[in-house]
Amino acid sequence: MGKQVHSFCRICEPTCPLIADIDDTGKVTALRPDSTHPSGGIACHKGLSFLEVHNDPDRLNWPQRRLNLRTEAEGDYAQVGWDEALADIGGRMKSIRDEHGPNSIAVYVGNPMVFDTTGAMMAEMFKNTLGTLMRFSSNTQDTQNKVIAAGEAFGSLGSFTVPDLQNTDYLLCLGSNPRVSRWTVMSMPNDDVDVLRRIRGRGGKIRFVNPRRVESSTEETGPTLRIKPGTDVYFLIALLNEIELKGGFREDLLQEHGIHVNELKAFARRYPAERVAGVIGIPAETVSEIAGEIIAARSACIFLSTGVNQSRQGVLAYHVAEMIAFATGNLGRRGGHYKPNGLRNEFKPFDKVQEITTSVGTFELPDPVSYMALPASILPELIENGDIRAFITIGGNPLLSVGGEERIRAAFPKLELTVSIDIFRSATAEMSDYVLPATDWMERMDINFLSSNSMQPLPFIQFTDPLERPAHDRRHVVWTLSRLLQEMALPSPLLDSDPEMTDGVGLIEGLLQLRDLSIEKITALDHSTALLPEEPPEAFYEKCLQHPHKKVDCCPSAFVRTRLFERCEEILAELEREPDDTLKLISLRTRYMHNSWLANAAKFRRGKETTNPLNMCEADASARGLFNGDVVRISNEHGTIDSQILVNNDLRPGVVAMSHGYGHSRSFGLRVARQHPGANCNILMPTGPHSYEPLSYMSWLTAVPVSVAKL
Amino acid sequence: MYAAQHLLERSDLAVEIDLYERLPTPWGLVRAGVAPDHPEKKLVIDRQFSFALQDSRLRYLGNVEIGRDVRPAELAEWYDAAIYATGAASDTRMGIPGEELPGCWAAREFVSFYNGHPDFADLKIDLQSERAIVVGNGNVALDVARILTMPVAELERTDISDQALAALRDSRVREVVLLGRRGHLQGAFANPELEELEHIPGVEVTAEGEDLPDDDDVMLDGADWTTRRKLDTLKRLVRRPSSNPRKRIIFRFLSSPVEIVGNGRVEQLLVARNRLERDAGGRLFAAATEEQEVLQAGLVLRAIGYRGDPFPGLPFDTRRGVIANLGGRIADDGKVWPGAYVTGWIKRGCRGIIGSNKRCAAETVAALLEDRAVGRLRAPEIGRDSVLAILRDRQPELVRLDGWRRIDHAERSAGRELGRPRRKLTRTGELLACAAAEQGLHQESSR
Ligand SMILES: NC(=O)c1ccc[n+]([C@@H]2O[C@H](COP(=O)([O-])OP(=O)(O)OC[C@H]3O[C@@H](n4cnc5c(N)ncnc54)[C@H](OP(=O)(O)O)[C@@H]3O)[C@@H](O)[C@H]2O)c1
Ligand code: SF4
Repeated sequence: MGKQVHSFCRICEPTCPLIADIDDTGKVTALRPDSTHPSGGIACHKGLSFLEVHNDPDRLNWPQRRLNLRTEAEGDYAQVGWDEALADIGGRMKSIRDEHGPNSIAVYVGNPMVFDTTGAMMAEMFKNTLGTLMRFSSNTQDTQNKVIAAGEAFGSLGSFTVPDLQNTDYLLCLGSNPRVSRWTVMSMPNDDVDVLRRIRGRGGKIRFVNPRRVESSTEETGPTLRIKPGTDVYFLIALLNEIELKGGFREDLLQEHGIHVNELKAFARRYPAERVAGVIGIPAETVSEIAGEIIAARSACIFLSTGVNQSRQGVLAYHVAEMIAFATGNLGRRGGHYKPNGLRNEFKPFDKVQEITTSVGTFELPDPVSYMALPASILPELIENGDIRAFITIGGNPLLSVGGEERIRAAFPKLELTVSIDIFRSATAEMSDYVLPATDWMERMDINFLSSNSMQPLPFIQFTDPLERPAHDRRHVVWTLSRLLQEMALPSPLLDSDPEMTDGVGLIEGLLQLRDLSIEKITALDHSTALLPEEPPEAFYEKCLQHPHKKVDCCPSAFVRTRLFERCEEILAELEREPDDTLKLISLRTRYMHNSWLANAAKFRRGKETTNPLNMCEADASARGLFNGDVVRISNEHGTIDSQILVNNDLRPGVVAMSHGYGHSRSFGLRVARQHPGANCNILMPTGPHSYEPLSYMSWLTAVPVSVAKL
Repeated sequence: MYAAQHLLERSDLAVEIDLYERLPTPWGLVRAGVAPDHPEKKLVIDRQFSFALQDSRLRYLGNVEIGRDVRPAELAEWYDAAIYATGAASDTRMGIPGEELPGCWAAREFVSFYNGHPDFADLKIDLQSERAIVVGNGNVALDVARILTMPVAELERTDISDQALAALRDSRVREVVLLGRRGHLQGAFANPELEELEHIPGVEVTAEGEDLPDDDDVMLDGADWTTRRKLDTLKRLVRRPSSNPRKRIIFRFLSSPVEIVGNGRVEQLLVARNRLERDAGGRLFAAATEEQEVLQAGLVLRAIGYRGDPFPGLPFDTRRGVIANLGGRIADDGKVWPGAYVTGWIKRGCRGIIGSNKRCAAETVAALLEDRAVGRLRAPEIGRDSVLAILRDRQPELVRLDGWRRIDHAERSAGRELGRPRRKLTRTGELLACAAAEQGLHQESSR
């Protein structure tokens, strides 16, 4: 008669509860929202449609070896056995490592791995055992600025805060569109932004700050202040300064918990609202008005997300937002910024760094590395220059998701070995010697580790069994990476413990033990979910401040060392010089896109989702004699792509928008995506030595100048 | 369009689609039916349909009339399958004396006129009387009432036809009476459309014929949420304070038209007062009472439902006003015609919003694909190129995608100068000339 199983989605941060209907043969027949789960999160169409991805006929089922040279765009693949594949890969990796050192092996970890608890832990272990610092990940495209900035200000890489949306009276939301992209780097149960309506319901206020009127901004939530793209940092500094001018600083708290407060103030004073108004496109009076609103609010949050993170100065922007919260008494306060309880709830001090020297310079990474990565935008150089000899991709598609596609493609044949572990033969996998089939989230046991790691307003740990057995010869990456280590004669979990171990049960047991739980105990609970007690927001000061002095560093020396302040001044001058008719490209996520894994789902490739149109407002189109549907060439010094115009008046004049995740014309293994390839807008993104933020290594992926010409 | 989209989405099939359109322009009801002040309802063109139209597997064949230029029997020979999505070209008549008098129109005709449908481009509608009466309480009736009362300055920012703008500028209509044969609880209109009346500057809304109930009125017992919501809106509308309104919209419930009277043109409408009664099935219907009243009006518009017209060569269900079909498969007397399908209003009758056609088309496409899977479809007898050659021969002024693009550009450019989304070309001759312009410069693609 089949059965119903509680589980949860692992596409994005909310990790929404799901019910899977499983028939007698063990096949999942439907995924449904689990409205009985205590988190109250309701799964969205992406999660509910994941069966399309899971059952996609284009899924990888067996290890494949490329027979032809990687200079050819389309791979000629032959099915091989796991043992044969792993022996060959392991052997070649071993000799590359022996000859050129561990750093000659680069490992790129993609976004889906973030939602694979044991896979991500194993990938970390794999890199550590290899001893390589040549690490890349999607984090440098979306969030690494927050992690490092929190590490510098609060003393632990895990100390980035979460806004208390449940209780706040004021929300300033920058570069974020939670209705479509959800709340990122926090795990808010998905409620179609009901939480925002409730802020309004209790008399609170919400403002969005974005170059585009976002879907989240409605009459029921709040208006959008259409800022010039890439200038949020100046808006925030001016806001901080304005708050001080209005006497809104809680000097007592700054005294008690802060150091380098005067340096911060001095920095802010250099950016009065009048000075930056032209560059940010927001009148000084408005900045002042918002400063007044924040001071007056009983509690206030400033949330910024990907749109700011990617715009060159993510570290400073995030830091200033936290400093506004701190200075106004909203750090570690109900309704302000705080750190919820979590599975681990332990914040290791960030006090050591290690270095890697490459042909393009020396880079620092934290020691231990803690999931941090080098700038992905220097990948083309590192491959071209021979720093990287072997390239291992785990659940990622860097060819499309970082800039410089053509350069990477051209340089790829230089690599001695490329391996891609994925569920699809993506564009990157297509360029690989070996493509190894991985499991998707329905095929593995998991816990919501990322979300439950102090990112949820309602902290809970949920466990799920695999919903289906992995089909064909798909293997979980824990097994694949362990076997690779074994083949390289390096210590591997497979050697010491259970040789049959395939999906990291032991790792999960280890994590659960931190809370006196076990798989057995948690599965006995309702929804296999253990609720964690809530902690008072004030606990932030106690648990998250991990500098030896236990204070908030308002002006970390690392910012000075990496010249962030000078750079801030230089970029301002650059923006001031910009001609008035400059067009800036920003990134726009649609409801139908997430990462490469959703690119091949036919139901998400309809209408405008079949191409990747260039969104432009009527005024800009009119000024250029362009009409909806016109085919255009978009170019800048980094590259050229063709697309078509979609008139979209949500955009501020001077801003055009495209979505990432397109450009599948050479993804021969993704038949649906390839039929509607769309243009890869990342081709227009800067690469090379000056393309990333010096401290966080974040790529510059939005607010990039482009020119548009009719074809 | 939805059917084409559903087919194009099937990446596992090698589909090729020819899209026939009687007019030079595509988009059917979205272009010719959706009210000009509802641009958001037309977004589906820019966000969805235009992408299907430009798909290389689809050929646009405009200005070809099935039944005149091509017979359905020929389509059956040329293609594996034909889907008819011809919509509703006719409407329900009131069936009262005087309906033929000048000054009595179908709302459908007026809608087509203000939306620039070439068949109605120069409709000689007379807006010189003070009062217009709209019969019916559906969304079409509200659309029409809105257009008649809206400030022309607002319409000047839309893609309404120039002829309609001219007529509305000269309009003397100050009052629009909406006749509803049943009560306020039975209005067929939707709440958002009702709410819109609130935002027409200078227009007062009143209700007559029936008192609006209080919240705790017993007659509300059993009324569902949607009905209550509409009633709330209506109450809010009529209770708004108004000072010196420019125009008025009057809901007159429980009223049916009986006879149109006039000397050579519409002058009066005789209206009967109704009482609600229950039929055997428990459904409330309007029964006429003795009470009658005369309303002076120079214009009567019937908005009591659209109907499909019989299609030459295809079986028709006269009762429902649709091409006879079983779940989208054309069927004569229950016998299915293989390879022939319908979708949209001509399949299920004139109900629902634009988006409703998506699901409707999905059902039809599923039927088609099922028939294909079990081998019920006959392979085409001639190739795609031959089809095109025949069509060019029969209709030298065939409009292809590039021709439509030229029309689209021309309309948008002309609109842009005036701050309008587009300025529609409304006469077939103009459209064809525009489509053919500079054709010599481009080698027309033969796909
Ligand atoms: N904005 C929009 O979304 C929009 C705009 C236009 C049209 N549409 C849709 O298009 C469809 C067609 O709209 P519609 O307004 O033409 O039709 P409709 O919704 O079916 O409304 C017809 C109206 O005419 C009345 N009626 C029918 N026969 C009558 C008669 N003999 N005498 C007097 N009154 C009579 C009906 O009253 P009874 O209830 O008593 O039968 C009803 O009030 C609908 O589904 C509509 O929602 C939508
Ligand atoms: S919101 Fe994210 S986690 Fe929730 S169902 Fe949608 S994709 Fe999955």
